[in-house]
Amino acid sequence: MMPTPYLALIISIVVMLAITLLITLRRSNA
Amino acid sequence: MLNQILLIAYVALIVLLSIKLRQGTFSGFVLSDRNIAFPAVIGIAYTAAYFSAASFLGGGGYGLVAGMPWIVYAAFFHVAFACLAWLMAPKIWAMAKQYDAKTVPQLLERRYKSPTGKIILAAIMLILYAVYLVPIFKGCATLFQGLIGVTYVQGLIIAVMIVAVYYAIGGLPAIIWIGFIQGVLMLGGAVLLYGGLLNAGGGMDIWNNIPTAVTSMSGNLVPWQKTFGMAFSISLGLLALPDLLIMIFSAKDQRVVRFAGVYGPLSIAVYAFCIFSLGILAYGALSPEALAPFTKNPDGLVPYLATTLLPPGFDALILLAAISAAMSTISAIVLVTTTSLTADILRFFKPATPDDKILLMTRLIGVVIIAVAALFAVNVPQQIVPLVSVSMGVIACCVFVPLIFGLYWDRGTSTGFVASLLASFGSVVVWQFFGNPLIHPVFIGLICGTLAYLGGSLATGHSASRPVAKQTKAS
Repeated sequence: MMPTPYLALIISIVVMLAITLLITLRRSNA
Repeated sequence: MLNQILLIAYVALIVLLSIKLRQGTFSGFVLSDRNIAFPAVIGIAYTAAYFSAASFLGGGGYGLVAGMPWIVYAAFFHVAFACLAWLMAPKIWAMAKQYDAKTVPQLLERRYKSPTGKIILAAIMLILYAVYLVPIFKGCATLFQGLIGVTYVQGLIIAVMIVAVYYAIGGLPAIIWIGFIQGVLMLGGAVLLYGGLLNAGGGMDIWNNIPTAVTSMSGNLVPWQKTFGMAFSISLGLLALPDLLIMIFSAKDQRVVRFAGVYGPLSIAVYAFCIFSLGILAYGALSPEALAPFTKNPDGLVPYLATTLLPPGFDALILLAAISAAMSTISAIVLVTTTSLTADILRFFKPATPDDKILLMTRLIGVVIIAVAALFAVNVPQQIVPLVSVSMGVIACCVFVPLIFGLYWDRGTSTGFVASLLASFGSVVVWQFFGNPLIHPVFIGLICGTLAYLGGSLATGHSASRPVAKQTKAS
């Protein structure tokens, strides 16, 4: 069983990358 | 024999690329004439320049002693700061272009109209980057020992020769393009090691074999506060290290910077997550007896994993990836260290020096710095990570405060800039010697630097300088 902090880390990394990608795409469409 | 062939192919590629990218002008050498048009190249070269052999060896093994807090805090801060850095990068690029800045001290000098600040920052960079180079050379030489069985000193000589050639011929364009290739190798190595370890531990079952002391967030053999501070201060470099900022300067336009901002954080995330996990996952795949020697010498874990877990031949690839990590960092650092001396300090005292003379000096002094750092690496202290974290943390602190305020706050003045440099540097040094070891000196440096900047700027008001740059609101 993967420990909770490790799982939380994976989720937070994915969220941070997704937000960065969204901002990048929004800026380039603006 | 295979390892020798692999190394020869690697060196041949580096030499060919440097010759193809050779530079004849100062602007081409230090800035690539702001013509790099490939976001992936800049993004991944940035990651390669940031992560050194200390991350590959020290960062990979440190989880063994620090436990879960290391992977959680280190990977989190790395990704968070990489995302922030790249979201700010288009603005940094625009400011560098507007002021026609070729080095980071020059950018801040022009932003604050402060030649004094430039000289102080250049001097801080010169001393601390030189210190920072020594342990990376040490790591690099040890890796050459492992790869082709040479002695430590021979390994150092090989490292010096390779870096000196591509630095002196190709300058920043060679550093970036070779850094890109090195970055791809590093990412491949990191994923391979992570996959190999997970596979050896039986996939997700690996977690069942790891002791709870290791997965606990209060830290294994090192208190979590110490790990937290170290992770924060190392990662802060992503936001403000001059050897990374020059990669942003070199982009052709803002669109390139924007999309480099996808590759940069993504490659940082993959690399940091894979490498920093190794020390913890090792508990689930190897016996306590096998791990015992590495709790005393965590740097040895990654080479050991490469030779025991991966199929024959792959270990050479891992060592080459680690060598790449070292060289990409060394070359980028040598460039900013040398330009801080030639373009910033020497030119300040002799403003009439022509560009071609500065270029010649930048090539020659760079090679001298490489040789001197390697000479010091013949005999250096054992542990890599703490050494690196302090010197790069100080530089990051000193650049971070004036850079961020310079980008987003109109009222910063020359006095504030100089005060923040002195306060950051002084407080970190004092705290390093006399402060509570549980609180990392970089926190103190950041707080003191910010207070001094705000105090100095507000006290001198609007009279000193106002930014010329268009301060459009960031979307």
